[in-house]
Amino acid sequence: MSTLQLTRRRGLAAAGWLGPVVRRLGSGLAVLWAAATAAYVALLFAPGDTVDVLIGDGLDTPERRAQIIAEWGLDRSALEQYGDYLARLLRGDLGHSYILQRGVGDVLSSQIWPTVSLALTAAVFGVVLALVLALATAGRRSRFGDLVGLSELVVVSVPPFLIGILLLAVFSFTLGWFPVSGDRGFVSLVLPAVALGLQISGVLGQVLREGLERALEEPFAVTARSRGITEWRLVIRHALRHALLPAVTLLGWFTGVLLGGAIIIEAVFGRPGLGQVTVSAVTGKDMPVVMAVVLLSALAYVTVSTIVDLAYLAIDPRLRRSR
Amino acid sequence: MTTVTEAPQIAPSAPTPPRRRYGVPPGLIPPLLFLIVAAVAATAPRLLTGVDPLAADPLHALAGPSAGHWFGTDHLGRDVLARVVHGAGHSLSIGAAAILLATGIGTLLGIVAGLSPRYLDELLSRLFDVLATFPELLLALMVIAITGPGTGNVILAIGVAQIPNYARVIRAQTFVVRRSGYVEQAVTFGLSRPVLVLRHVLPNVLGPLPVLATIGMGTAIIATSGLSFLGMGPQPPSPEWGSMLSEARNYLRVAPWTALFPGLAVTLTVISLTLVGRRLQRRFEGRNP
Amino acid sequence: MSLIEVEDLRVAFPKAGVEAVRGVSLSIAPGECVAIVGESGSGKSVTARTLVGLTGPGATVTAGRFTVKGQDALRFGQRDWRRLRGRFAGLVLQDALLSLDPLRTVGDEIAEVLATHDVVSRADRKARVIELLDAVGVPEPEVRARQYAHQLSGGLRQRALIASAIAADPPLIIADEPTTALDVTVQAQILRLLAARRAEGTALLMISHDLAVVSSIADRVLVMKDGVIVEEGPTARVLSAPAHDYTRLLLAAVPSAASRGTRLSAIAGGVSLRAPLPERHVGHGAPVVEVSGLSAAYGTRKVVDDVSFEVYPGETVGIVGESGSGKTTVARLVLGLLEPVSGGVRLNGDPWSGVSERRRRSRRSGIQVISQNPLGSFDPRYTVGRLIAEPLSGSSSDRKARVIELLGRVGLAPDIAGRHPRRLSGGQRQRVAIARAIAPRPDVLVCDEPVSALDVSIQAQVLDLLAEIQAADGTALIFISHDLGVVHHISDRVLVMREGRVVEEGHVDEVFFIPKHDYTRELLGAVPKLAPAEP
Repeated sequence: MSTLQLTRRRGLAAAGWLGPVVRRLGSGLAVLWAAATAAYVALLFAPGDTVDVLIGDGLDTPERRAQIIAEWGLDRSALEQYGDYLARLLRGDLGHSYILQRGVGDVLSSQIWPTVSLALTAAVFGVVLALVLALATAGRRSRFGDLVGLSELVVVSVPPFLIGILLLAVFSFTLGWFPVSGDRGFVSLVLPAVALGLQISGVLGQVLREGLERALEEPFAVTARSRGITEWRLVIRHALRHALLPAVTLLGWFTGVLLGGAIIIEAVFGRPGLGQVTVSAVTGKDMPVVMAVVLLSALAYVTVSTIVDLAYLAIDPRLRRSR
Repeated sequence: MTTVTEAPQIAPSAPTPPRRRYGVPPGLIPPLLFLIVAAVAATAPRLLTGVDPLAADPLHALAGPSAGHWFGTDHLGRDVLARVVHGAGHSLSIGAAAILLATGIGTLLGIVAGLSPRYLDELLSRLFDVLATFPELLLALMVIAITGPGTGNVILAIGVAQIPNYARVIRAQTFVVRRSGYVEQAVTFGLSRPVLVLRHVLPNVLGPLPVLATIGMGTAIIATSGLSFLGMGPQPPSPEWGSMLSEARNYLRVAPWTALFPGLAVTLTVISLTLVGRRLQRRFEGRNP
Repeated sequence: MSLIEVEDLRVAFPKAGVEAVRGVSLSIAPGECVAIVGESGSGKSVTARTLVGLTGPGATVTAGRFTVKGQDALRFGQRDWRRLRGRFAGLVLQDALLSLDPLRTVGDEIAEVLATHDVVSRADRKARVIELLDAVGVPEPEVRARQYAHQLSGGLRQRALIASAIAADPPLIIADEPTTALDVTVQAQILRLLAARRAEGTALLMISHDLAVVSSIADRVLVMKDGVIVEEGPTARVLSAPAHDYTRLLLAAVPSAASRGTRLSAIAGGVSLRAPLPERHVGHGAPVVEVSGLSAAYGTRKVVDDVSFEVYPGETVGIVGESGSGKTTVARLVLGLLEPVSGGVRLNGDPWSGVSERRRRSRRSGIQVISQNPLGSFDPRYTVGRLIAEPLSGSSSDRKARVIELLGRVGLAPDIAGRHPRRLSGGQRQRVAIARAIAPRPDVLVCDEPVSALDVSIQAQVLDLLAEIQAADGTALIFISHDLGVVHHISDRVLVMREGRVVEEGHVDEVFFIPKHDYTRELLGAVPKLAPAEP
């Protein structure tokens, strides 16, 4: 009879997972739709004629105007336009750049990989550094800990491009270890990734350490110590999971920091990528490209946030029961 | 009698020191002093330097720090010290104005959401959530793509990009205060709703605002310098820390001081704001039970 | 040989400038049950934790002699302490919801002890965990082992915590307020469980603020105050013939049936205990509050179901019940902070529920509230003077004078008006809350667990203060508490609530001495009595 009960309970536990997972996926999609709508509304309500906004600094001819009106359906009712816009997005059609004379999807897909590899490398570097430093310094009052705390403060207070410039000055110009600019494989990825990753590790390190210290003061930590476990085990087996909860919340925000940071860092290191595309699009008022980048970043944010929410469920059993 | 002192453990930090302290804590003196100097530079730069930040002297371009030019000169032979001092006006005023814009509108929206009936609150909160999915820098860039570069547009861009943040924080705070024991208690005194909101809800919601704004101003200054670095801030030749750094990037090998001093100025300003903000925050949190 | 022997133990926290323990000597023999009783800040918890080397960082521990299992503990390093923790002594703390890691299963928590001390082989651990849960009376142990603390009821979690403390079969259990957050019926079960362990030969060190809780189980009692043991001896002797004034004060402060109509605290300067309280007149005729057929629900869950009662001027009506019984919801309904689903409340004869807040506003001064957590009910920006003045009307100088007068009535000095409540003690804060509640001269005061967060001696003072105010002003009280002793002491009539319904009501002596309902009997049976254990 007890085996029977066990299986029943297991089934229930699985059901307890399913509800929240479906709910979070659903709300992720809803947010994405709302974000696309918000971008569209912003475009329509931007000061000036929508056709002017879409042309930007591109060549302004009657033929092109007609093309834009046709492409965006500006001569049709607002609802039809909007439906058309969503339908195009669903097909993956991000529109046409009237300055570059190319499809936006085409422009982005040729430049996305350098940015993604930069962001991912930076994320891995930043997370690992933060984790190592937080574990090494949590709760211990030491010179080293103070130094790490101070460095974190400095790192979060320095504009990311300044870190990039400093790294360039030291490691490229003075020591000559790394190339000054361009994209020449992994070597040229190191300095930009470090510059970008430090931003993350500064914030994440502080959050992790505070989380660890708070967890180590909780009554359950006293109970765990009273069982005779070592401090190291206490940190790894108990405190770390508690510290991860607030840290995981930040991951969505990190996506924004990484993408925004990548734009600037690419400029510092003269790297190709979405950053350069974005900057020249903003300078040239190439609205279709700017909008596509903004939507892409919202997609990244929502994807990461949804993963984060699911990670939360995995870490904290208290959230699993559906209310 | 034997004495044992506990071996140091990874464990609760030392008992929190007594919070009640009057006067300025010693750790806060350097950041406060720096902020005062920065404020003077922003409002009355002539008190600190008599040199014209726009006066070019191509014969002495890229000269290192000397008695004549303490911070050296840039690629046009302009005095870096004068440009850093005059740049404070741009950087600080853009940061302050952007934060004013963001906190002003964000607070208003947050309070409205927090005090509204449930369906309206739900609607506004979702809206804030959606807006927060756009990374701040990209939102700012989108604003600039529409409006074009320049000081006023940068303020607008950074301010608008921060609004969802403040709206969310203030909404959450309003929500907490509205449901707090002391507001419920005040209901039992027979206070009318407007009195209740004005006397108990608003002051407690707005209390942490200076703290948020102080820390937020640091963020705004970083964002400003970033946009200027990309060439979207105040247009040359007016001095601004971010655009100075952008120009300096091309002369790093020969004239690192052109990057060093504006870089230090940004960094020290932001660190000072963060330190002061954190201290305010700790005092504030200590106040609430 | 004693399990633990310590002489002249001193624990100081130099950074905070506190000497928490000042010269404590105690020994625990195998199989013995020793209790340390004291109020908050007495140093009892610090003493207990020091015995397993868990005083915490920044503490300086000194002792004339400190042996554990005959070994000199003063020479112990962290490694030596770790070997003893769990194996030699298991620790049970208050409230397992916080004392068990909320992110790990109960089974993992128990298995941690088994793994650390290699009690059983890795393969047998799972089976052993289930055996242990079974041994502490957890039903369906296989299922429970895979659950998290928040999924278990308060009683089951506390049992699981005890299972983890005894997993390595230590000869000593140190239990620090093991039943404090629990309902009285659950408390009784946990105490029985600890007593059973003791009967099997495990020594027990109990730390408690409650003399009654330890009296049923302890062989010896040590009474601690300000870091010093003021009295110790066999439980029976300490309870029946206390030698120290403080012990006497503590015993006298415990409210009960016997203390009705008498003071619980000593009058300032005097030592005479149990002086009579001033006469109180209970009015007849029109009730102040009439509650009829009251029901309330949160969503679809009914939390108050068909509750009716009246409160007459000057009368005290007690409402007792365990957590989740709906007693606090009744308070919110009576205060007009929550609208009932059905039924109604009348205040001074006029409808109070079901009318608009605008119409209630001018009558609100007639009914005031005192809550368990006074600090939460104070606007964090306000000083004491501003807090008390808020419900007052009149000119600013009138109000100032009234504030001073009210402070005097609750036994606080006038200069406290300028202070901030955060700088006051718990007892002082509750006095401020009382002064504010009586400021608009209400006809009825709703007291929701007003003394639950206070030490027993402070509780005594606050209860005496309420009685004095009631006698002087003729205010009616609705007194909500989980503590049957307090309710018996203060109430004229009592309602016993369970799951939203009133199961029994009547004169407090009738209900508590001749209970009719099974649940009332169960509650009363579970209350720890101030009587030594039968040998």
